[in-house]
Amino acid sequence: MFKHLSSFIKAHRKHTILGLVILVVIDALQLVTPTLLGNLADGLASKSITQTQIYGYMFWIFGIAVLVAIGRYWWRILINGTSRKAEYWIRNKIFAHLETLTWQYFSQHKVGDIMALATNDVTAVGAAMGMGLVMLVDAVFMSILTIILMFVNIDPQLTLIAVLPMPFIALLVGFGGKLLRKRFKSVQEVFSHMTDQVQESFSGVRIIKTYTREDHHRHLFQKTNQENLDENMKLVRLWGMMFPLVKTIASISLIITLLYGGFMVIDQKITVGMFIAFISYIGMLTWPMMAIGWVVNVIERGVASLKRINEFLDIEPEFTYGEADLEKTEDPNTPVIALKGLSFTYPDTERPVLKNVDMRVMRGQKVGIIGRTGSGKSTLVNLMTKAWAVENGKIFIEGQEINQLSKTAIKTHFGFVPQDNFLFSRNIEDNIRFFEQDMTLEAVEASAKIANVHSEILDFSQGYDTLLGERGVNLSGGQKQRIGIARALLKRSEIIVLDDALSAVDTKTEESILRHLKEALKDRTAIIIAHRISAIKDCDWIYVLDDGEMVEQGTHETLCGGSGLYRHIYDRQQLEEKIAEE
Amino acid sequence: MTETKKLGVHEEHDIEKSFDLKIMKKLSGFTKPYMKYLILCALLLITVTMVDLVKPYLIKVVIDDHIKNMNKAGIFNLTMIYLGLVIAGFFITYVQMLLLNWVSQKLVYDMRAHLFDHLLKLPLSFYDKNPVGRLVTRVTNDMKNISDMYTDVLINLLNDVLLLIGTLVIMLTLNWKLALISLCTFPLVALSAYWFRIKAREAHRSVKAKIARINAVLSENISGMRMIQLFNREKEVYDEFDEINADHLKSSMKEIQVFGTFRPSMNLIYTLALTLLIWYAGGKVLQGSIQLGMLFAFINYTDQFFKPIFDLSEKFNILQSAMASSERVFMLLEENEHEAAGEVALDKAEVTGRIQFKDVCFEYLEGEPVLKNINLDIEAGETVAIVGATGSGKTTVISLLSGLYPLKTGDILIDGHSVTSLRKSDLRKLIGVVLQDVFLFAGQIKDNISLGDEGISDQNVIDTATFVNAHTFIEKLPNQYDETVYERGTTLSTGQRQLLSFARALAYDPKILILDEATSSIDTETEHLIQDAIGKLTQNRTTIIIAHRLSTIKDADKIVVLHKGEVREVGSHDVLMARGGLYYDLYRLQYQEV
Repeated sequence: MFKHLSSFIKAHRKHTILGLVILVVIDALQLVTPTLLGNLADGLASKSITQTQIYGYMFWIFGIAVLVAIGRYWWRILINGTSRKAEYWIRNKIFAHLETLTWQYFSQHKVGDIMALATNDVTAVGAAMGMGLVMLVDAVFMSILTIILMFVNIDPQLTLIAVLPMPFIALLVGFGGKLLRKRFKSVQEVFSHMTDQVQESFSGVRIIKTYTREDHHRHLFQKTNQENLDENMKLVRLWGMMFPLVKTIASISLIITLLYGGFMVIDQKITVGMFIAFISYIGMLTWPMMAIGWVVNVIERGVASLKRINEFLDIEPEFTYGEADLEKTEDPNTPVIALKGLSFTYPDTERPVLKNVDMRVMRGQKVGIIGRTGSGKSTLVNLMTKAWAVENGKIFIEGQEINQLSKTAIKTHFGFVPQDNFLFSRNIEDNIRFFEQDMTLEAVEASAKIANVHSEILDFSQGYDTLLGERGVNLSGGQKQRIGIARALLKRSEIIVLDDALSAVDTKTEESILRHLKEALKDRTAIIIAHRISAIKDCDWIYVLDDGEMVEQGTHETLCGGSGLYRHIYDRQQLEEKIAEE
Repeated sequence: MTETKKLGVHEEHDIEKSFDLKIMKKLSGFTKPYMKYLILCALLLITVTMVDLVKPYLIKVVIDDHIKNMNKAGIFNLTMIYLGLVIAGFFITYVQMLLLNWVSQKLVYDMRAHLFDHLLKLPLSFYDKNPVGRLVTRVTNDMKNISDMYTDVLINLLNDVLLLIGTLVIMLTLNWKLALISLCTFPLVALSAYWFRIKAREAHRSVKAKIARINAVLSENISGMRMIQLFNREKEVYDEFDEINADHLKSSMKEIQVFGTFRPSMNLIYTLALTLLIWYAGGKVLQGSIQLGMLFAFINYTDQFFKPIFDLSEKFNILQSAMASSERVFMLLEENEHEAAGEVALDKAEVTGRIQFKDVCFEYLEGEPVLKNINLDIEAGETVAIVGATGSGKTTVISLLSGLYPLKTGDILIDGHSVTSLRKSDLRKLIGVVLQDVFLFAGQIKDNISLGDEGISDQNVIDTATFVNAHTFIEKLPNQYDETVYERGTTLSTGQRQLLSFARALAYDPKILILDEATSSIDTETEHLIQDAIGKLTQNRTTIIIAHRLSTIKDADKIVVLHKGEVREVGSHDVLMARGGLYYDLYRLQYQEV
């Protein structure tokens, strides 16, 4: 179970062990105080001690308290500190592992679930390793030691009788705690449901008002409001019972002590001092008993979370990369990218998305790919950057087999603008740079100019420092796409891929971007996927995909001269324009 | 409208606020119905506290009186009485806790319902000024803070104070000299509790802020993981994550230090009081002027005296955040910009749907007119297309017609009745609105059409959906009309949402239909269905369309060109094209320069 944690445990176990030793030592020290008080009481009762001896007691009691205080501070730092370090360490490990996983994993798992792993589960493991461990050792050691002391130093019979109710505390806290957590969870669920509902009513207030549906929403809210009240009361009914019950059980132990112990003092079986010490011991047992009940839950939860984390860390990426570096081919006849009879079916599906596709892209070529939605255009370019693995001998980059190439070799060779381009909640400059720290600001601006977004960026009051996302500016779809293009350009890769990256910009801007790109990418290769003929008509070579098959290729002129799909799309778009112009 | 949101917004206030009598007074209005229960709670709590207070004294009596006098019967009686008290104490505590929680939950239930109701009554202009997220927080979290105050603070505060005073009185009565000795450590306790409160809150906040940052960065990086991998930036992003993660670790170590210092030092102070007691009383016991049991009673009472002080400092935090929450809630409750309510009743059946705009002017913000002197006659049954560039005031026309914003100058008449004079519900029943961004409520498709109106039967829903061509796609959904949709869900396409919203409008059979066409592209097939549905919808009812589609505009009886808040041209497509004016230009801009 600890296989993923082993290196952390190896490095930090000394701290935890030292912390536990301190914990045990101060536990023992704490037990000395009641004995001291008991002896003092006996001395005082029989008037057999001197004033100096009283000073002695004072010194010892206070001295022990100082040691206990120091010890407590240190075990907290050592044990709890280590558990927090473990949380940090596991979280980093989870994140590093996430980075190695492929697209498939992310398409099958919700962000929320992955987040829960890195937050809730990590915290639960930390809690078990920190307070869980402390409570376990503390509770077991304290209760055993206390009972032994009571047994040996005072009276076995009294101990047995007085301690009898104590295990019930552990049972109560153990079982009650589990139930409590369940109810607490449903309170949270109802609360979040209420939040969602209120959010929706206020967001849709315009519709509610125009259709005069206020009463309906009032009624819906009243229902959730009542549910919230009920769930809370359900929790209180249990919670309100637990603590007073623990207190009552502890009090019963005290009553037995007073009664039975009092009699024993009178019968002179024990001294008054022993009696007083015994009362303190009984008081000291309450906490460890609660802790034992509690610790079961904490550790149980920690183990379950650790299992989930282990399962996650055990996930292997769907494919691995090769080792080879990429060498730019000198041979002018070797294509930059070559696809040879490429077919592809997504995992867990039946229908092939690509069927026997051949393609040769030469250096410096600007290549267009067009086709209907779902014809396999995106899959085609995604496979070039190894978003999924294909069998050997199908894809070649600079004449080298893709499966031989290292990850860095492939990824640095492409400047990619995906269809679902993603911008981060940071400023525009950082989004374009995307950790390309060596580039000057001029270079960043130059890329933005090519992407036709520079002047719009300057229109923001903070220019390139403008924050994007929730706490910043919301960009239009077209602006987002163009920033994505600037980002890809800044990378200065050999091949630029625009996967439908011009769909949200108007035709005029599109034209200007394409013109700029042509100038900027003179000797470099570009692959442009588009829906609109206008975006690709000036390409050196155009491929037409239909239902996964390469049905046509050629230049705009030759394709238009034909009567295939390209001509069909062209005619339709001409017609659309013509209707619009009527 | 985006600009209007920046001004007049309720600023987010501080998270905490000190005790404020004015706020308490306002709260007492809600507390009133439950006052008797609260008093009962307080009484019950005091009883329980008494039991707690008696315990050390009980032990003293056992030691000093009964054991000394060898009185077994005395011990027996005393412990049996104590047992009775403990059991009674348990039940009283339980009842008290149930009652107190019920009161605070119920109270917040009332306040929540009241606030929600109040907010729904506020006009749309209020929602323009206040972000939804903030309003939601008022109804949910702020209310929770208030309920926490009732359960954790008010009654318990009373209890703590009583415990403190009770302990003090008992100690002083038993032996005032010993009492003073125990109390001399009090300043130390108060100081360290004060110090701890500040430090702990600081540490706690910093940890919370940093975990929030970890979560935000993590979630974003997961969403953008593909981008990170595509650009080979795993190492850089990892390093950044590590930095944030390490920052969190640092704060949490600091938190451990604060807690690690506080608890042990409190204990140390207690031990100090203990040794002082032994020092002073030990000699006296030897001399016989103080009894042994008395010394131990004091040791116990001192321990008990320390607890409420620590509790008090914790409750202070809860009180402060509840005060701040209450203030924010009351600020909303005092918002009394209610929708102006007309009195004139109007029977839908008798309305023909003639609309007149007379010198209508409107501005969201003073000095920034959106509509200037709009005069417009729309005959019953006519279909009117409004065209104009963004920001020309098209949406405002719709809002004013359905009375969502109060008219300031000019008037809008429906069948000769001013919209301001009509009862809001009557007015809105006349008008069906289809907005550009179709809002879906989480729930079933059929509920999104009927909007929860029980007067609209399932058959009705299906009929209207069929009429507006929505039936075909709904039928293909796995659960058909029972299919659950979400506002942010991507289950439905823009075109499908549009069709759904047609059905919604039609289900209410409005006399006047207002349609804000979607601008975003819709696939040809759905586009065809939409145009067909619009054709059916406009029959026999007055229709105002904010048009983006050529076909819609051409079919309109009348085209109104709105520009910079003014009506610039009115006429049919052909007439306006022939005129070669603004419409001609707009048309060319939109449809020719592709």
